[in-house]
Amino acid sequence: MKKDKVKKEKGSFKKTVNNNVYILKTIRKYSKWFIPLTALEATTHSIIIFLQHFWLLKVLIDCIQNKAPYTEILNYIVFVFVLVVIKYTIQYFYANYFKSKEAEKVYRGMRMTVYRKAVEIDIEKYDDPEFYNECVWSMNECAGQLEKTRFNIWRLFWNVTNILTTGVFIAVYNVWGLAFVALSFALNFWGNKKYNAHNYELDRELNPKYRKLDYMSRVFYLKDYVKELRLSNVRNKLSADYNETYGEISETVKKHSKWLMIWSFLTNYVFSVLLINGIYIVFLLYLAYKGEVTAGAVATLFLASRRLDDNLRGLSYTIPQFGQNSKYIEKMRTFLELTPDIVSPEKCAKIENGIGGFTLTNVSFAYPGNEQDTLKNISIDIKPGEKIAIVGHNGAGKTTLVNLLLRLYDPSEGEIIYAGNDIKNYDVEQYRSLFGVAFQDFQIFAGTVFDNIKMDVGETDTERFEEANRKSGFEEKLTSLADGGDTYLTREFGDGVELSGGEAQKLALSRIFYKDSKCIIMDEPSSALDPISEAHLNDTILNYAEGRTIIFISHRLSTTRVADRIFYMENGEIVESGSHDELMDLNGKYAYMFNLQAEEYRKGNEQS
Amino acid sequence: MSKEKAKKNNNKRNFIANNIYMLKLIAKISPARVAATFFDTFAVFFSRLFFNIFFLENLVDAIQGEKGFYDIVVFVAIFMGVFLLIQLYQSWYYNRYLPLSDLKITKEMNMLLYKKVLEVDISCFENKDFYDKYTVAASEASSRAITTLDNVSNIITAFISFGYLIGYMTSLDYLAPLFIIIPVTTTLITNKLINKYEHAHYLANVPFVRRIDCVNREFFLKKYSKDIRLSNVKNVLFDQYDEAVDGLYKNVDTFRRRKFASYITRTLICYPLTMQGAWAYISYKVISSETLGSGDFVVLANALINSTTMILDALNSVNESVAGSLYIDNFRDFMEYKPIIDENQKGLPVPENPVFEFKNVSFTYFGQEEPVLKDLSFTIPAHKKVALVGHNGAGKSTLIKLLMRFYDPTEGEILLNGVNIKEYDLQEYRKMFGTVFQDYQIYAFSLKENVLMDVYKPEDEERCRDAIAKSSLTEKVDSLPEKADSILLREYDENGVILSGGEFQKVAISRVFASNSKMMILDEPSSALDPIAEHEMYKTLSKTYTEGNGKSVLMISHRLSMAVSADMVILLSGGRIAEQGTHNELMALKGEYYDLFEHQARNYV
Repeated sequence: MKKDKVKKEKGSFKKTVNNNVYILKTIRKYSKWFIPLTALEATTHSIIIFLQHFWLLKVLIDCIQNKAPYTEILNYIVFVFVLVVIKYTIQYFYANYFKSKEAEKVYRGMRMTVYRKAVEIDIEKYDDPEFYNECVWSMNECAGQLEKTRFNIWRLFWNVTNILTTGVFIAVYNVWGLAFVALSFALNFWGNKKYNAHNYELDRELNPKYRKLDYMSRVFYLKDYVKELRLSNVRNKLSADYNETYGEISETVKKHSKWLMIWSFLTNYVFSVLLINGIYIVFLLYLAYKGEVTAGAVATLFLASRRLDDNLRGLSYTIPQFGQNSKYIEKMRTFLELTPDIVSPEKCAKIENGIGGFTLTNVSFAYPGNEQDTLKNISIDIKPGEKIAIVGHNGAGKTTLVNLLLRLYDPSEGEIIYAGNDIKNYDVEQYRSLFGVAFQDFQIFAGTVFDNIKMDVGETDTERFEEANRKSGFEEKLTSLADGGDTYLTREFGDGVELSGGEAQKLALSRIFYKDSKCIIMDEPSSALDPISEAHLNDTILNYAEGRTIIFISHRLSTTRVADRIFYMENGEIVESGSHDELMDLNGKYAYMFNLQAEEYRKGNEQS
Repeated sequence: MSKEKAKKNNNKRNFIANNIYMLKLIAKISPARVAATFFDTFAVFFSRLFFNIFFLENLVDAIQGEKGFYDIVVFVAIFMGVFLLIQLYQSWYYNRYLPLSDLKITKEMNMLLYKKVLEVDISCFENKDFYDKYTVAASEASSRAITTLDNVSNIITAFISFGYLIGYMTSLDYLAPLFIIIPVTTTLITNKLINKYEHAHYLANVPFVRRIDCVNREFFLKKYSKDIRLSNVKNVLFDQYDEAVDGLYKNVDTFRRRKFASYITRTLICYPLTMQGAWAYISYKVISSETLGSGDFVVLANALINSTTMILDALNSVNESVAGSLYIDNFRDFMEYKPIIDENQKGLPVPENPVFEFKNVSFTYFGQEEPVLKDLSFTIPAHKKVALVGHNGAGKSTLIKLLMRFYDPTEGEILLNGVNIKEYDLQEYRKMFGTVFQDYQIYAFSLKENVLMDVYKPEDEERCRDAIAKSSLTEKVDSLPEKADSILLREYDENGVILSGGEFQKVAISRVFASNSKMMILDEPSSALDPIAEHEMYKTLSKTYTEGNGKSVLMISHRLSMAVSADMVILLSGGRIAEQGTHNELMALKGEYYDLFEHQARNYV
C-alpha cells in the first residue's frame, strides 16, 4: 500500500511536468512572448533588488572600510539609482500594458478552443453529473488557471534567481553559511511535506461537511426558498442540520490540529529561526571574535542568509503549486481530448431539398450508466408531412425518442433512416438544421430579441421576422418593447427585459417559424400558456403545418387529438398507435387517459 | 426613484464608522478572537522590527568590542527563548484557534443574517437592486468580518510601530525620520489617485466581464446545451465574446496612460529616491564621523529600508479597509432594513372556521404605475372550494400573495372573520395555509423531513406516512432503498435520490396533507403530472378537503376542468373580477368564462 503511494507520486511528478509543459505550449500558441517576458521580468526584478539591497550594501561597506572618497560612494549609488528607475518604468509597461493585453489574448484563444469543444462533445457527457462537474463546468475557470500558470512561472524565476544571487554572495564571504541554509532548507522541505500531508487529510475530511454547510446557507439566502421558509417550520430542520454540521467540523479540526501545530512549530521555529538566527549567528559571532570576519560582514551575511532561507522556503511552496495546477490542466486535457461519438462521416450523404420521412427500425436506447433501456425495440414510420403526436405517462420515453430523432444521442441498437439514409450518414449540423424545435426547457439567451429569434448572426429578414412573431403571438409583446427587436433580453448583464413564462414560450415558437424548417418538434409547447393562447397556438400550428412534418409531445390530449397519428408510449415502448378515432375505438390505454381528462369537461358541459 | 438612489449614495457612512461597526460585531461574537488577532499582529511586527533593527544592532555592538563573546551568546539565547514563545503561540493560533474561531464567527454571522432574512419583506426579494446587494452581503458576511478585523489590527499596530520608529530614528539622527515620513506621505497621496483610476478601470470593465461570464455560463451549463447544438446561436455568443474582449482591450489603453504619472511618482519616491537617498546620507554621516564604523552603516541602512517597507505594506490595509467599507455599507443597509410587515407581529389568535373577505382591494407593485389588482371585493366562505382562473398575468398569483400577507394591499382591506388580517398573530396566521407553489422547492433532507418540513420526531411517523399515502407516493417510497429515510437531491450526499418532476411535485403536495392547515392553496399544482396522476391527485384532494375534513381550498389553474367541481369560480381579467359564481352560473352567462371553457373543452367533447 505504501509502496503504491510512492509509485503514484513518482508517476505524478512526470505527469506534473508533462501537464505544465502542455499548458506552456498552449499559451505559446496564442502569444509567443507572454511566458518568456514573464520569466525575464521576474529575473531582472530579482537581480535589480539584489543589486539595490545587497550588492550596493557590500560595495558601500568596502568603500567605508577602505576610506574611499565620498564621490566614489555617490557614483555607486547613482549607478544603482538609474538602474532601478529604468527597471520600474519597464515594469510599469509590463504590468499595465503587455501583461493585461497578452493575457486577454491568451484567454480568448483558450476560451474559444474550449467553447468550440463544448459545442462539439456529445450531450451524453452532460448526463454524468460527476464528469460534468469535473470536466465540463470547471472549464469556465480556464482563464483563471492560465493566470495561475503565469504567476507560478514568475515566482519560480523570482525564487531561483534570488537563491542564485544570494547564494553566490554568501559563498564569497563564508561558505559555511551555505551549509546552514541548505540544512534549514532540507529540514523545512521535510517538515512542510509532513504538514501538508496532515492538512490534506483535514481538507479531505472537511470538504463534504463544508459542502453541506454551503447548501444550508444557500437555502437561507436564495430567493427561491424565501416563501416556504416563512410558511413552514423547515427553518428548524435547517438550523438543526447547520448546528450538527458545525459541531462535526469543530471536532474534525480539533482532531487534526495537534499534528499541524507540532509540524508548523518545527518548521517555523526549530528549522528556521533557531537554526539560522540562533545557531548560525552564534557561529558567525565566534568567527568574528576570532577576527576572521568583520562586523560589517557579519551583518550582511546575516541579512543575506535570511533572504536565502526565505527564498528556499518560498521555492518549497512554489513547486507544489505546479502540481496543483497540473490537476486542473489534466481536466482540461481530458476535456479537450474528448472525441465525440456523434460526428459527421467523412463522406456525407446529401440532404435533398423537400421533406423526407423517418423510419425507425428496432431502435433501443439506454442512457449511459443505466441498466434499463429507456426505449425498447421501437419500429415506426413517419411519412413526410405527417402530424404525429406522442403521448404517455411521465418517464415513458417520449422526450428520449425525440432526442434520438434529433441525433442528440445515437441509438444503442437499431437504426433511424431519414429520406432513405441512416441519419448517421449525414453531416450532423446539416441534419440538425432540418428541425425547428421547441423544448419544454427551452432557454432565452442573454442577447437581443433578434438574436434570440434568429439564433444566429447576420442580417434579419424583416418580413420573415414579423411573420414569425405574428404567428407565434409574440408580436403583441414585441410592439410594447421600446427598442423592438434590438431590446436586450434577460437581466444577465445590463438592464435587459425579463419575459414571463408565456411570453418566453411564444418567443420560442417564433424561433421555429423564423427558421421555417421542414420538420417541427414540440415538446409540451403549451404548458405555460393560458387556454386562449393555447387554442390560438393550436390553430396556427395546424395552418402552418401544411407540407411539413410535425412531431409533438403533450400531456393535454385535447392538443394531440388533431394529429394524423398518435403514438401512445409506456415504459419505453409504443403500445398503441393510430388516429384519435381509431384509438378511441380500440378503447385501450389512450382512450382511458383521454376519458379521464375529458371527464371534468364533459361534466361541466352537461351541467350547463 | 433614481433621485432617491443618488441621495442614498451620497449618504454613505464613512469608512471608519463602518469598520468600527464590523469590529464591534465581532467583539460581541468573540472578544477573545479580537484579542488573539491583535496579539498575533503585534507579534509579527515585533519580530520584524526586532530582527531587522535591534538584533543586528546588538550584534554589531558586541563584535565591535563592547561585550564579550559569552555575553552575546546569552543575549542570543534569551531572544531565541522569546521567539520560542511567540512561535508556540502562532502555531496554536494558526492551526487550532483560528480555524475554530473562524467557524464560530461564520456561524454567528450567518445566524444574524438568517434571522434578518426571515424578517425582511418579500417584496425586497423582487427588487433586483436590493436582492443583488443582499446576496453579496449574505455570501461574504463572515469572510468580510474577518478581513476587517485583520485590517484594523494591522493598521493599529502599524501606527504604533510608525510612531515608535520615528522616535527611534530621531534618537539616532534628527533628519533620519524624513526617510520614513516622505515615502509614507507620497504613498498616501498617490494611492488615492491610483485607486481612483483602478476603480474607474474596474468599473469600465464590469459590463465586459459580466458579458464574458454570461457567455461562459451559456456554453457550459447543461440547460443551454440542446439549443446550442440545434441552432447557430453559438455564432451570436462568439460575437458577444469578441465584442467584450475588444472593450477590455480599449480600457487597458485608456487607463494605462491615466495611471502612469501617479504610479511613476509613487514608485520613484518610495523606492530608489528614499532608499538610495538614505544610504547616500548615512554613508556620508559614517564617513565624516570618527566613531561610526561599517557595522553601524549596515545597521542604519537596513533599519531604514525595513521600516519603510513595513509601513508601506501596512498602508495596503488602509486601502483594503476603504474598499471593504463599501461592502459593510451594504451589510448594514440590509441589517438595518425596517420591514413594512413585521414578521414577529403578535396579535389575535386565528379562528377555527375562517371566512375571508376582500374589500375593495387594490395593489400596485413597488416602482410600477399600473395596479395589478383593481378594486377587488369577494368572500371566500369557510369549508368551500374556490377556483381562481384567468389569463396569464391576470393577477392570480398576486392575489395569493396578498392573502398570505407577503404583501399588504395598497388600498382596501382583507378581513378574516370580520377582522383585518393585519390584527392577527402573523406566524400563526401564515400557518393557517397549506400551500403548493408553482415554484415549490425540494430540500436536501430525508424524504420524511421534506414532507414534514421540520425535524423528524418519532411521533410524526403516522402523520408522515398518511401524507405520503394521500399524495399517492407510497409505492415510489417503498421502492427506495432507504424508504422514507432516503436523502433527496445530491447537494452533498452522493447517494441522494433524484425523483422525477411529477414525483417531486407529489412530495410538495404531501406537505399540505402533513400540515395542520385550515386552508389549502394550490397554485397550478398539476403542471408536471401526467393525466392519470393528475386525475388521481384531484380525486384525493377533493375527497380529503371537500368531503372529509371540510377545509377551505383555493386553487389556481389554467385548466378549467377543475373549476367544474368548485363551489365557486372567480375569473380574474386585467386585475378585476370579471365573473364570479358556480361553473353552471358562469356557463349560463355565456361570457368570458364560457369562451375559455369552450376553447379547452371542444377537443374533448
